[in-house]
Amino acid sequence: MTDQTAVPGSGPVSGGESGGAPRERPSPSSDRPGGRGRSEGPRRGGDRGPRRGGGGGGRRFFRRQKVCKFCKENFDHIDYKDVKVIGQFIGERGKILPRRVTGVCTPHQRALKVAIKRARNIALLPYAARV
Amino acid sequence: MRTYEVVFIIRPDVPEADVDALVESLQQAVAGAGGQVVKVEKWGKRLLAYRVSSQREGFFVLFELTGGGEPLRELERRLKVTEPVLKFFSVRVDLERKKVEKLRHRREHRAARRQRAGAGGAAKAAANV
Repeated sequence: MTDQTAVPGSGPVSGGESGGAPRERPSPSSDRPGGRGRSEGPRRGGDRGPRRGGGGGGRRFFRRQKVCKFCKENFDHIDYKDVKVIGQFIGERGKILPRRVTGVCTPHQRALKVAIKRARNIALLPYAARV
Repeated sequence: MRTYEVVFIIRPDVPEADVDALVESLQQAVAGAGGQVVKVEKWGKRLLAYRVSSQREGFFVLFELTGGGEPLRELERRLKVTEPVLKFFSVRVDLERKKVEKLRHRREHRAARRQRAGAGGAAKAAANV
């Protein structure tokens, strides 16, 4: 088991997660099919996060679990005037960062998108920043 | 009744006294059109994220006004024709605020119920003993 899982992990960086995860998933979920759904389902919708199934394969690239900042800190509303907060979610060229990078959940990413676009309109954030 | 937020940017080379006078006159314009300026925030001079009319910084002012669309229209018309205003931007905020209020309410409710349930369970456990 450990020999097999080490192979995809030692391959290319992005291939490690996508190649290793589906092969390991079935075994723990078939052991207790109801338990995972109940504990994870209602909390955070589709955000399965980078959690590993079996535990093997993640030896080289340990990714910390990403949690939505806005869920964690109970943000009701993402304000376009709050440049300090929404400025964290744009790249150095001024682009909106994808969820897979920042770990923001889907509803909050949608609200964040609106806030960033409003902030751009009033010159609080750039449309395109020079590098 | 609607609530709007209007942010506008004034040229940085306008003296402070003139900015105050301009803000005052805009406030009166809103009042004249049947609206009410609830809040005025002057953020002061800050850097623009990109150049607007070849200016790199500007004096930011935030208005919050209540009333129908008429006072907003009047304010926007004034901002458009006022020469030292570089840029302005208005958003309707009352609906979003209502939603936020509802969310907070629900959360408080849920927290209260959980607390009550916890207390009830503890009492029941005590009764069983």
